[in-house]
Amino acid sequence: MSNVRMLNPLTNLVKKNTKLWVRDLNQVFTSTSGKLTVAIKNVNLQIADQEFVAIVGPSGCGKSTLLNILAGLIKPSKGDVLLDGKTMNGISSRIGYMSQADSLLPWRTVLDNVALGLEIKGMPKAQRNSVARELIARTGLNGFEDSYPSELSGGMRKRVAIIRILALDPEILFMDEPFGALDVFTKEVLQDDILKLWQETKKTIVFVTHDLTEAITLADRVVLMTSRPSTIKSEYYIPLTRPRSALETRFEPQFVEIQKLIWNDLRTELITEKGDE
Amino acid sequence: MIFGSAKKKLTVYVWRMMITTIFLSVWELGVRVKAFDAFYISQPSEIYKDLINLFVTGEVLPHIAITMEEALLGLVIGTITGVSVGFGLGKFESVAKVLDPIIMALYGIPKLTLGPLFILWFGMGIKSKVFIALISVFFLTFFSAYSGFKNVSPALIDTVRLMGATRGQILRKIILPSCVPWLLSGLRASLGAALLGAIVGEYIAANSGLGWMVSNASGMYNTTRVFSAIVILSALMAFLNYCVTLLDKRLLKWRVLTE
Repeated sequence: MSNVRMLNPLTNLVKKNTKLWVRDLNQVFTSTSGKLTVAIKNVNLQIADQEFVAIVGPSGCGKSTLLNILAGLIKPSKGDVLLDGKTMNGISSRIGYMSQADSLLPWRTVLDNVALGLEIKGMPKAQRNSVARELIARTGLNGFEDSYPSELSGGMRKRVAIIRILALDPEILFMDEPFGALDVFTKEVLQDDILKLWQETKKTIVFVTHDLTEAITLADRVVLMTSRPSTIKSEYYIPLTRPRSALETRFEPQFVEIQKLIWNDLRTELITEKGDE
Repeated sequence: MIFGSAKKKLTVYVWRMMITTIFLSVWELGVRVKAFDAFYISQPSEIYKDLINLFVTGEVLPHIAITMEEALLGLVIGTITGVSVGFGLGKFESVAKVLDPIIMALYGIPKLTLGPLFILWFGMGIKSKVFIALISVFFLTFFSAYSGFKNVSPALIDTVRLMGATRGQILRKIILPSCVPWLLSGLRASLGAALLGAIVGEYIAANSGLGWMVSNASGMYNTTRVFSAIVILSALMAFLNYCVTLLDKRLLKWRVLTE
């Protein structure tokens, strides 16, 4: 079974076609009492153009911190991130970031939320509204243009958050446990949305989650992270054929096999974590 | 809504009218049968006549204008400085730490006791009353702006930062709208404070304004005129409150829907 891990047909592709290159990343936080906490230790990661990578690890392992560094929100203590071979310096408009929190502006309607990024870029009102309307229609949210976020269901809010990022047409999408708080059914529907989105746009996606099933369903590659100090434990190529379906792919025999393999690996991590406390 | 149906709403309205009518009737009749002394409490019919007279002759209009001018100037200047200082201290934590006990000490001063000083410094005219009004407004606005700023969701700020927003855009698109509920409650409290400040200033030293009208009339034992001025003042206050309610409905539309 371990051959799944060894034979990674992506390895060469990633090396030839690197979109994001994380080099020797370290992150140390100083608490108010002056105590140093190593959040991330020696993380090296290469992500290819159009690749869908899922980062999985126990909660509190610094997955979000890693994503925040990649997005340019936090400056790393050591190491750097290259985007298309150039060192990233702060926030890049080529990256779209979907956070864990429900980050729709509650005082703005759906339309104005979707148009927010374009508004910040300075696009005239008529133009940005027409872009936003088209995205809203394509997502099946027609009729909700003038609704406020508080009037929408959790799943609809996530959809609005997704198209708000797509309005800016970024090359890379970062998603930080975007469906964490949703019920199973809504989650599966939205996972299908993401699969379709990738199929249509082939954007590079980095998807952080603690849900292993979700990671395998969506990604080309699953990256396992250890608990603090966080580092990459192992990487798994997911050879499941595309297009995939969030509802059916998980019952394929190969899926179950991969899941067992990764779960065994992840479990040792969870046990060590427990032993530490 | 506390009172759901239209019928219940009507009942409430009828009860309100009844209580008011009974109160005014007892007052009026009590004075007529000499159960109460009109010298001290006047009577509704006299107050009504006086009010009509005040408006027909136009005698009261300059007084309303001057009091409103003082209160509104105090309100506007106090709100602008309160919001600026509130946001500024919200942004610069270390400065806030240094100033915190000083601000609390200043806040502890009953603001109206500063009235005589302001009269001494700024004279009998409008300026001293504006200052008395704005000092109360400033603190009320300052505290709500500061709390509002502290409660802005960092996730929302990150959201627009990641979209490449400038500092000005973060302020306009996230911080200000997030603070609107706080600022509106500050504004509501400030209205009363501004009007009170203006009136108290006029009590101390003035030659016009509704506050001056009250103190002047009571000095001449003209209780009817005192009550007339009080009626006008409460009508002004109700009007200003109504304006804020309209503003509330418009700006907090997204919030009302949540309920």
